[in-house]
Amino acid sequence: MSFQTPWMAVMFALPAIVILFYFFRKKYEQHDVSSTLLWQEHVREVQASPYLKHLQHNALLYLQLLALLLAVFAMMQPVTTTIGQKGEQAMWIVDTSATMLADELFEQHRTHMLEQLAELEQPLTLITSGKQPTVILQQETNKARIQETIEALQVTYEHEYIVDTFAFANTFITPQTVVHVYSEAVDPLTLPTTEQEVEWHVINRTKEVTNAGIEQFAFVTEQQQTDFLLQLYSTEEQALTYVIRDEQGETLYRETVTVKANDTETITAKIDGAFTLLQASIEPVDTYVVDDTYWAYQQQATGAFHVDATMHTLLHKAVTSLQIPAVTTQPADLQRAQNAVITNATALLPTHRVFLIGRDDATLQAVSGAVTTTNDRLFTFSHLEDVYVQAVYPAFEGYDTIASVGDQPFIQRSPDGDIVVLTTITETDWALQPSFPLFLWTVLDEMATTNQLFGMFTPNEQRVMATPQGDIFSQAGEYVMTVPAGNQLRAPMQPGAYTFNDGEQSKAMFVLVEAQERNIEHREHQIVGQVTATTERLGQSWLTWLIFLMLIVLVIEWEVQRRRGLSIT
Amino acid sequence: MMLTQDIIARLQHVRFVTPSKKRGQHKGSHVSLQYGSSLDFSDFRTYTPGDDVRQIDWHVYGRTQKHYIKRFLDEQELRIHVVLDTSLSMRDEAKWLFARQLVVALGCITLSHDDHFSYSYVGQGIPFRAKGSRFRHRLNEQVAQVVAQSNEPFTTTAHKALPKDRTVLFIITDGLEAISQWEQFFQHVHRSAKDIRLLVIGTDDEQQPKLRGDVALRDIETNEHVQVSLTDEQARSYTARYNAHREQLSELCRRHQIGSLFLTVEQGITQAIFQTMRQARWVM
Repeated sequence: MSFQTPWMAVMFALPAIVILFYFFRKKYEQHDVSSTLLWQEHVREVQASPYLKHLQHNALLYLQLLALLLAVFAMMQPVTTTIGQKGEQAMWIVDTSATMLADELFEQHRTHMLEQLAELEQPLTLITSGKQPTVILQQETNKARIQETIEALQVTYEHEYIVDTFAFANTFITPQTVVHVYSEAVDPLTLPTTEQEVEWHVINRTKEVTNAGIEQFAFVTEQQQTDFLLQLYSTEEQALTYVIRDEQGETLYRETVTVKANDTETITAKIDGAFTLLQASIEPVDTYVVDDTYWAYQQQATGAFHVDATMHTLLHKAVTSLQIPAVTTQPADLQRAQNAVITNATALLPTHRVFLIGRDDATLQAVSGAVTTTNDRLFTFSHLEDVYVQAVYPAFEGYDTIASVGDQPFIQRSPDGDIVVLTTITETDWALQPSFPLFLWTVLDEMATTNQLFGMFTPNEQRVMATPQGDIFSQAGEYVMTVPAGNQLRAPMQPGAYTFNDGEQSKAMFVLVEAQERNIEHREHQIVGQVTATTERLGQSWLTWLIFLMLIVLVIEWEVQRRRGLSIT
Repeated sequence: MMLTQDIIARLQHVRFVTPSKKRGQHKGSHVSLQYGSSLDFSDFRTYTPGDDVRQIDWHVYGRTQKHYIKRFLDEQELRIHVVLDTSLSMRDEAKWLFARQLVVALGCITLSHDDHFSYSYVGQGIPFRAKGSRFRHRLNEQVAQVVAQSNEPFTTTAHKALPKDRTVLFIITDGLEAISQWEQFFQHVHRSAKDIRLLVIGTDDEQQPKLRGDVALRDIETNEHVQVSLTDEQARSYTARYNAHREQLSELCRRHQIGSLFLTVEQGITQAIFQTMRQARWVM
């Protein structure tokens, strides 16, 4: 036998109290008087009221009846039921885009969530927005954990892609779900329609926020002059000062313009000098910082590659299939080529950017062995282990060998950045392997990009890049993250300027918010849909209190018995 | 010793006032209206129709042509008896002392004037009877020894202690018994004397109880318990009841032509005799 509510043993205090009563019972002070004749008459008269007398007389009966009635009532196990919260599941979709920072909307939402948490009774699913929405909590009931999670939520600057987020969230929705959407300006028409009973509470930004920022910035460099275009916008009429800086941070241009309310002002101007990278910013910075800075770069147009006409047709085909712009050029015209060249003319090496395949000034030497590669970034995607090479040309002095056949150098990299493959297509079966086009692509891709820029990204953007392993540092020099070799690069969250350092060189990279995040929208709150189910809360059971009352009545009964004896009449 | 010497000395100057005819066989020193054999002339009174014609003084008529009655001093003794309530209710110390003091005082008054005095109480018969002032001292000493230890209520047993043939009968009691019981008792008293006087003594506390709170009161006599939760209001209502009881008792006495006087123990014996009794014209 075991007890369901063993803590009720506390009630043993009641008989203990009764025993205590016995010892501390009302003791009358004894006094002797000459005669109680008159006292008896007095006492009789004091208790004369008939109803009281009747009650007193039959006190025991009434008390016992009362105790029995309470017992019967208690047997029915009365319970107060209260209506609990609506819905069987709660889902909160949190917009973590950059615009949530304006006017501290994100913090307001966080407070709102914590308040809601206090009354929450259903399991909670928490989803954050983005191109790839994330489920942070699923059917979570542990309130402490939910609180921790809510307090740890952060703005990820990525555009919310709210429609995608809704589609994602839709998969988690079960009937009788109450969904809260904490966003900026969600149009109720974008909410997914389901056949299930779902209630959507859209919590938007209701207040309009004043903001000024850069909408567009671009420039073109020709010869030694740069033309730039800058678009400023502002929600209210004000004078804005903008500054153009170069990559080192030196101010190149500054001007103050007046922007009308809810209008964009387009500015075009010229700056002397040729630049690849320019930064435009507004001073002073307003509360929504994210849209106050803009970087623009101009890639040195590499144009099409020049492919030597004497090269093997297989090479031509490979280049074409990679869809890299390439032009077949006669060897005589290669001298004049501006862009990168694919050739075997060794003479061009010092003057041009060359991808040398074979040598025209040396003879092949037979070689045997397996191909081994170093950890160069060119081999990120292409693995050369199964390549068979018959003969190689002699290597260049002073060049880095990045692949070898046996003990002979196979592929080399020059200090200028040229790539040399010391064999011809015919001496190897490499062209038949998938690593060949991949290698080609990697080389050409490398040759195409400028040295300075690593890339322009949107926050949290995932991009496939042939990157070697490297570290990303913030503008202040703080370490941000490490990028493993060859993987998808996930750009940092926070917009700003970064440097990517792979051990040999550092390149600039920039994270800019998407264009949609440069607009701060507002809209009224919305409630769409209706949920009828409510969690039923079983309130207080009266049972224990009734039994407690009963015991008290019994104690009173005891007291009465003690005073007047056991008879009921 | 119940009374001090100076009180006894003062008591000499007090005499009883009683309308009843003397019963004593022996001479006393009291005014008598009865035509007697004494030669002490007292005073003249005009004749009113209905008086005894034989008492007219003809000498005075001869001189004044008006009818006067001569009154003489008749020296016949008073016989005073005191019945003392010795029931257990009298046991309260102050009350018992006062009661005994009263007995001695009455005795001293009587004996100082050469009258006959006796007292009795239930179970003892008449332990003292004397005449003459020299017996005052013995009375004082004897009464001091009396103990209130009668288990029976006074009204049911006191008739056994009643004497016969007395001038004045004093009954000293606290009166705390049912009126009906008193009524029954009063049936018996008239054979003892014509002048019967009830002296009811009570304490202040009995009249206005000072106790408050939960008390269990035990009757000393009957050993019965009464449990009361006393409040001020209840005490007041009890006092009213007490006074009503007294009222009923005096009404009963009036009906039976018994004199009654209520004395408070706290007032003391001197005030009781020299003030209260004087005011009530019991003594002068």
